[in-house]
Amino acid sequence: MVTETTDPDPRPVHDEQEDPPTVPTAPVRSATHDRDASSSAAGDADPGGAEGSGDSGADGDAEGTEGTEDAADVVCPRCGAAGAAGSRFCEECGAPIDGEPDPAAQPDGTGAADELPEAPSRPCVRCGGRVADDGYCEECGAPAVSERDHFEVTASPTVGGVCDRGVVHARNEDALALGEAGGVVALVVCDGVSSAPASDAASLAASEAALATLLGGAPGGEREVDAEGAARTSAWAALLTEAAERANEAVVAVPTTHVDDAPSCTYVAAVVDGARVVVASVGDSRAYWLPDRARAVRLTVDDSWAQEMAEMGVHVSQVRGSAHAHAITRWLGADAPELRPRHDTVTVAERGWLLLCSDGLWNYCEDADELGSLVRRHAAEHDGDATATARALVEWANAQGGRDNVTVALARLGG
Amino acid sequence: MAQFTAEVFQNEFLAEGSTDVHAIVRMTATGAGTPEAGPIDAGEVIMIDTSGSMAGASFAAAQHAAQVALDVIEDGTWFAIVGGSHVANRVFPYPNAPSSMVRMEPAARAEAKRAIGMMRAGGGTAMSTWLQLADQLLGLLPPGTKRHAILLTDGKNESEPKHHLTATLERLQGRFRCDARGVGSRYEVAEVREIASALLGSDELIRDPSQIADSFRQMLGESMARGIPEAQLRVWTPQGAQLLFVRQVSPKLDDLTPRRTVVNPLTAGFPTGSWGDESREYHVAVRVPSKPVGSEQLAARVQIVTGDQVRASGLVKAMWSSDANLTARISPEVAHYTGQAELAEAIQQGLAAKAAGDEATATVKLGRAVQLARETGNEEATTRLRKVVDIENEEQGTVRLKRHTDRLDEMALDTVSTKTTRVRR
Repeated sequence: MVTETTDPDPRPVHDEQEDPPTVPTAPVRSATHDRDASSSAAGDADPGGAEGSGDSGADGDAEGTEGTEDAADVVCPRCGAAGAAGSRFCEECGAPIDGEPDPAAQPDGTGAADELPEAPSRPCVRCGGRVADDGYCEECGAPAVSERDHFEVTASPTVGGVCDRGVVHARNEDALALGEAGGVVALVVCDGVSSAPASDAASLAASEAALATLLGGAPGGEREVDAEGAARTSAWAALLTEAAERANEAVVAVPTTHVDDAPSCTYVAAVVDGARVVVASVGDSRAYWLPDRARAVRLTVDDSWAQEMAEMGVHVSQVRGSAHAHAITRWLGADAPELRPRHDTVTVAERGWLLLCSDGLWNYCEDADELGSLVRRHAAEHDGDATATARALVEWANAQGGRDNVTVALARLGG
Repeated sequence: MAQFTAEVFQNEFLAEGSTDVHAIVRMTATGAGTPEAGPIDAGEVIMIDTSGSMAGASFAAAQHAAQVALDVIEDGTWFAIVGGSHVANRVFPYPNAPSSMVRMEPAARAEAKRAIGMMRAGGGTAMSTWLQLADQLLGLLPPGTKRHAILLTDGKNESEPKHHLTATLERLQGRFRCDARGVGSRYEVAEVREIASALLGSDELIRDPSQIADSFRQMLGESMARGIPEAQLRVWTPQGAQLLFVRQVSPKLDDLTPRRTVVNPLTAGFPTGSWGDESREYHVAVRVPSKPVGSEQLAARVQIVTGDQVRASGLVKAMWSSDANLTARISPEVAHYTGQAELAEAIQQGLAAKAAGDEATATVKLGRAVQLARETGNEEATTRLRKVVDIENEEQGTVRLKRHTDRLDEMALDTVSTKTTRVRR
């Protein structure tokens, strides 16, 4: 995932780290931003939707993001930074924040406060074995995967997603947030820009801020969408734009030491309100409607150099090999060009899957119909369970090489 | 309080499709001279060859050395003296004594010296009987006792079939440590090496009987300083992996692979005997299934364990990379000890060929040894090789066999072949 500005200063593809480009003067960051407010909103508006499915169920505490608790601030066990209650990861250093802070990080800790917390004793992602204190699985030797490197979110058996580091990248800069409230399902996928530092924190903050805003539109929510007919669709579209703005603010608020290279990420979000599906996107993360018995529909248009070339009539085969093929032309972040998400709407009249994903998945399967077959094949193997199917798709992408972070969010629609 | 540390030397980067991971793991014990919970109980058995061949200067020197050794053994240590020929005899405590081992104290020391003075040479040589008696004696001591023995011989193990000794050594493995010494030019280097290797001790050649006493003093002094009675090397490998070999490479070469015991399905255990303040290095080779470029995997956990407690742990890793700059490097430590292992093999095969009259093979093997000794900076091996061959070109390993060599020089070369030098930094 990369960005490219529309001016002659493209950011290079992530794998080509030489020659860091100069970026247009970074805008002054918003001084009025209230990080705690946006984060705690994410917690409050999350009625159990972010309950980790985990592999064993034993790590529920670590992922507990029940928003009904008192909004007491939490402290990062690694760096000691304060975060909002319900935060899954530290906004400063990206370390997972468990329910119980590490004793070593307590103010009265016995001199061990500088040490990293012990690896969480979650089971090995590869084989389910116990992970030893030295950070490797006791059965298969796979390195322990941090909460940030691989996490799963399940709202219900039909709504779930998986976010994974992939094989090649050292960090997971993708993020995922999804939830269900009052019969409304919201899904958000953000893909951090590898060439910008702290983009892993940025994408996570963005996805959580966006989800909180979207679920506010559910019945009983603070921004309840109560219009009918076409106006209802427009209201959701407006809320999706507003969610992008909140996400953008969250990205801008991520602390960074690199003033000339701001953290940034993509944004794709979808709201399912009855038969109505409304999506919005910035960048090249995508949404698809994959009906079981009809042609697949791609709901988003990439903000990418490849897309611009295609719109100018350049054939896709000529673009694919280019170093800029994956460069994006819009993103969230302090140095983002004007924030104007693209929207699309589909009315669901039959059974199928709504898929949101980062380019870590679609890079291995560009054709929408093939993607539909792929999803249905894996769903059939997992009894239609959304999270299990998403996990299988992530594993499939990793088996293809896993050259990028990969995120898959799924919702089964049409009963 | 004794402490162990583990260091791992390896190139963890593997090229796509590669499966074999090699690492040198250095285990270092410090503070081992001070026993952990008060003085540890220790038992010492000294085995002296009393066969007919010993009669003369060697025997007198051996008796003197054993008497000197008694002075080195600290008061409170359990001890016994064994005289060995085609049978084994307990020299002290006297055969009619009520207890088979006694604790050292001044009166016992004086009486033992008298008993040693009364020993007489005669008979054949069956070392398995000596070792069995030593095991019986040391086996009487309570569990947790540090058990150590010294064996001195001057001749071949000629009064019993070879497999007797091998079978006995197999049975006694891990029961006590035995340092073995050969004196003079008539014993078999390979036999003494077999005993020392199986019983986790050292082996050395004593050229002249007058040097026996110093050798005994040194062995017992080192034994007394070993505050850790027993440690086990453990190697964990992941499911689906294969442990190719585990070889001690420093201070001397010793292939541990055949002594493997099962700790659990993924973990192999190897006895390492007692430890003083020292470093030992192990070459561990593991075969793991290949993984995609970018994957990381733990290939082995190499641990030193006392009791059931892991005292130090080294992690051997595998990371698959497409960067040839990373994957093409060979760890200097791995390369060094691989060369030293080949050196030992070349020396031993060369000397065996020479003894069998196969001069062509001997010339090639010893030539290769000269080359390897140079490459790995093993100056002691080079010095000793020079006494057996005339070197024409050290770099290319071209040599001529010397016409007249001292058998002691060949034996000394054979003995030091397993001693390694540390990596030059």
